[in-house]
Amino acid sequence: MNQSTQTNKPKKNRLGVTQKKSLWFILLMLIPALYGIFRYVFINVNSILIAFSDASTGEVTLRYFRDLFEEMGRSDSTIFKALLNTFKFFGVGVLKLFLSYIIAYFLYKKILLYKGFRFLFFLPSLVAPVVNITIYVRIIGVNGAIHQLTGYAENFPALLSNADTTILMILLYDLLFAGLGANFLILLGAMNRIPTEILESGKMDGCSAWREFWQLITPLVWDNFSTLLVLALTKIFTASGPILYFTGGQGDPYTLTFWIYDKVRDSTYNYPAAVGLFFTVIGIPIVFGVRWIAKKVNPEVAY
Amino acid sequence: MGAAVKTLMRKCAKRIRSTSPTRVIVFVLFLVYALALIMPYLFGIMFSMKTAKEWFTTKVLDLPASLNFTNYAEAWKNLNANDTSVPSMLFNSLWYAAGMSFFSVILSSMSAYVVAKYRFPGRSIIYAFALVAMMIPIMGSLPAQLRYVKAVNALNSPVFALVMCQTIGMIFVVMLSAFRGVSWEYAEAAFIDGAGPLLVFFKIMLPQVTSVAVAMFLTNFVALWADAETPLIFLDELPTLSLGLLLYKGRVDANYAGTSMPVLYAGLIICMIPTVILFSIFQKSLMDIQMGGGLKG
Repeated sequence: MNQSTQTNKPKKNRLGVTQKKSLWFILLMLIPALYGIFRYVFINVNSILIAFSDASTGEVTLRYFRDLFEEMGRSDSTIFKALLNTFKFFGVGVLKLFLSYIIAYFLYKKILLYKGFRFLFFLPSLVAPVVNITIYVRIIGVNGAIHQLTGYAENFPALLSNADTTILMILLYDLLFAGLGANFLILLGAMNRIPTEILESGKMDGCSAWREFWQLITPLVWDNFSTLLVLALTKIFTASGPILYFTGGQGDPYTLTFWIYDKVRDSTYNYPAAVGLFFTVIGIPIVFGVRWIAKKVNPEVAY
Repeated sequence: MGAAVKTLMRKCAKRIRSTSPTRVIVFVLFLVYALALIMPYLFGIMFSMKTAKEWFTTKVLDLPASLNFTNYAEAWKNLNANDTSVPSMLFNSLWYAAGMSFFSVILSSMSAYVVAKYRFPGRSIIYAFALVAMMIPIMGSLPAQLRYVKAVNALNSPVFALVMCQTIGMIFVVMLSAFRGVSWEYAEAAFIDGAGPLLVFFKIMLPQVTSVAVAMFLTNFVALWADAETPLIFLDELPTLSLGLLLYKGRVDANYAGTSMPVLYAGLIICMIPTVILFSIFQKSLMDIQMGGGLKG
């Protein structure tokens, strides 16, 4: 009873009187966060204002949202195609997370040459996309390396000059040749922090490799994995690929994000702001839904 | 030499024989994938050593007649984009990537520290805001960002690295999580010894989370070094190396006079070097990032 009364009391400041004296310090240290909040609010309020104002007259309008709904209703419209491409990149992003997890597991189990693999699998993420893609295009492009090696790949140039097939080549690049990214290192780091005693006691109890992976390692790194999964799932409308580096900004193919980027480069602001605002609003319940599910599934393991 | 290789091969063969079939299959898959990843870079180095004449007269995989490094010197001196040479682009990349990463990590750490360790009204609001900023990617804010950057005179200016650095978002959440894991007793001991709060932060608490801070700095640095899209909008008059190479590539593809494909490849290889070296040195630190807890609050 006494204990519960104590826990119900408002907690004292950690520094007590000293903390009151430290008010200036707290305020000083909070300046960056307050600036960040100010910038975030300022930019996004402005973004909303731009979305609802007419580009030529400056008057309040819903015209851009009407244009958006009209475009969304046509399967041959740029926005509709961009949305489909966005989903494709989103799928690749989620798939890469699972691939990263499996690859991290085998490297954690110290497969032969694991240090070399760790470096090589991360290497493309270290290198600027302009480097990777220039070389990649030279390999698959007109009279490229694959053509010379196989004498077969005459079709590759056509693949890269058609918007529908270019997107497939970019997705393939993104999945296989863009590198596994920081997620892979975060998962590998989480596995490396698992106390060896836990796995040793599992082995002594006759735990198979599959059970060790599924029932020991996965729950122990779930906290990290589920967070990365939530972050990956939040990109449902913002996922994009290195399209600029493939096309040099020459138009199709688009994702939603790249379409907005391309329009801003062309100094068109209002319609992209409206499109962005619409998909952000649609995305919010999805983001919080995913977060809620991740919280429910989390086994709360501490080690 | 031959004996050493034989011994290594024998060891590998012995290890492969004593491992499970799954591991052997996975090893072979990894090996094939690793070769597929490394080959393009070897091709890139080879392309950079071809002469302009060889580029047009030989097939793409034909080796250059000699080890020719002149394209690197040529790239260093004459490769340029928007009247900016490679050394200047390297400098721009450095302040953009290192400066922005440094400001993001140190400024986020300052705020994350007080939110993690001090009690004051509104701290949970700041934390919630950081989560929202991290989880809800606001689309379509690019026009407003451009207006903001113009309004604060940061367009085509190194001030951009400070004005647009990340002070509330993922770095804040990760650093807050790291500070929560550090015992307050260290600070209390320092306060008893007469240290002020700023000294405690910089000398006692920040060093406790150095590995996480370094990891966050490096991941940001690598991403910003590689990024050409943001500089194309905000810093096109001060091109970074990635942006400069993208612009130069466009000119090479359009057969502009004075441009050369082997020189472009030499520039691309130069661009790779800093991040690869950084990763080789700090790859253990990069694995210190922990993503758990913070997001799900």
